[in-house]
Amino acid sequence: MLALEFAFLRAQINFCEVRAEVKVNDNTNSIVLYSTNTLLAFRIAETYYQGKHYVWCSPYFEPGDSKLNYTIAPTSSPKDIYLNLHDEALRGDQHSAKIANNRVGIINGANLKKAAGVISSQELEEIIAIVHGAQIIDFRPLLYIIPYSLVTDICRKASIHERAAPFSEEYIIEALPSSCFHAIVIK
Amino acid sequence: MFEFLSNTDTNDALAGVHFAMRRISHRQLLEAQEGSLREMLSAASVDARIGLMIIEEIERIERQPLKDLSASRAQHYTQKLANMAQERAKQTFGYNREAGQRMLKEWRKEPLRGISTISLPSPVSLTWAIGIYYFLLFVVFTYFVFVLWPGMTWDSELNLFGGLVRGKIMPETRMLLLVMAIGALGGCIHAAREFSWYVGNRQFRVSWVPWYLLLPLNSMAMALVLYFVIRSGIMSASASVQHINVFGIAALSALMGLFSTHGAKKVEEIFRSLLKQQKEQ
Repeated sequence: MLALEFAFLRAQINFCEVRAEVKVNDNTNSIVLYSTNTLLAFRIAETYYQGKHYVWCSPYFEPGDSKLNYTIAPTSSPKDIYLNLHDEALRGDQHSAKIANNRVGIINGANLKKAAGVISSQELEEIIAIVHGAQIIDFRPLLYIIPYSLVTDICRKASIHERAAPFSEEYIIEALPSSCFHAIVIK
Repeated sequence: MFEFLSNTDTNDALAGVHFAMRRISHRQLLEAQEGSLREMLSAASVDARIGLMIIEEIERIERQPLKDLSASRAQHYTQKLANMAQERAKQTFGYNREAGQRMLKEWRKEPLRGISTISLPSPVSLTWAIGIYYFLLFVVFTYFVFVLWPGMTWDSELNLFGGLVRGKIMPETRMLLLVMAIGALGGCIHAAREFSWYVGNRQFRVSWVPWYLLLPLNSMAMALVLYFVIRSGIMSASASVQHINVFGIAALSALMGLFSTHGAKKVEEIFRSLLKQQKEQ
């Protein structure tokens, strides 16, 4: 499976320009889903949430390819998010809106996990301290490659008020087990 | 600012801030969230309702819709909301600084387990190839400039590559070749400078390779065009090549090569206005 994913990703990468080769138009035919998350979010989920990750994903790695007839806002494109986060994290951009958003998102998520009884109050305090103390470099991006067949039952389509564009194809997996995806850092 | 958040339950405030921050960084609401549908949406979920209240306050302060907000203002509000949310969480839920710092230190030390690192196929070989291409072009065109330069006389004998290519050449042809060589040299300087800047800044894009490869040739042709323009207009067409200031022509050709993009635009402007005038007449 890893070799297949690797080959799949490799095929998409043409030097520094990443191009998606996905030839599907709806989720029922999707081979994989893509999601970009931060390293900090990954580590928090691995440590505190028993390896269950909250992810937004898309069946397209690089939306906007003229060959494909669909609409996904650039702010929901795994490729764009990855490249922007990568740039901002490596350059130490203190004013990155995405990183600020991720900080609030992690705290909000931890609060929901506390309400659901997944973590204790003490752990919530730790997560808040981690988010406060985290440096920009801790928000380096990771690309999750999620085989669709493994998450069919646990992924749901994002509702219209959650999506970045009215017709964009976005999915939310609230508790994605570590065994159901492969995380990749592209150097 | 956002005083209503202090009267809101922390859980709802955090969710609302998170909702608003996503929209502010996009600098737009969904089409469905505009107009009357805003009301419907605000009733849909707490986070959407509070998020919309935050956005509406920003729109009131800025006196413009969210979509018209400048990037810097959007960034300002995003940071403000993030700080506010973090402080609120810290005050409400507590803050275990030591444990947090310890965990961060551990994570930074330990290798990335369960994460694969993929190095992109390096474009190093391509950058080397283009670098060598420019080096060869510099050598070849500099050689041609030296060989074709008239010197004291417009000698009709042409002797290239140590006698490998020999023949007679007309002074006009020599001039044309000289202009082309100098134009290409100017193009090489321009392209090599741009190329090294983009490679140095890690912004080199493979899609620009044809531009890098073709610019010296493009500059060569542009210098030739400029030469024809000069010969046809500025001086008498009957003036022989011996009466031309070779340094002047060489300087213009090199400049045309260096600024071929600007030169092409200028020529386009001239011709547009010229053709427009002719039409009006």
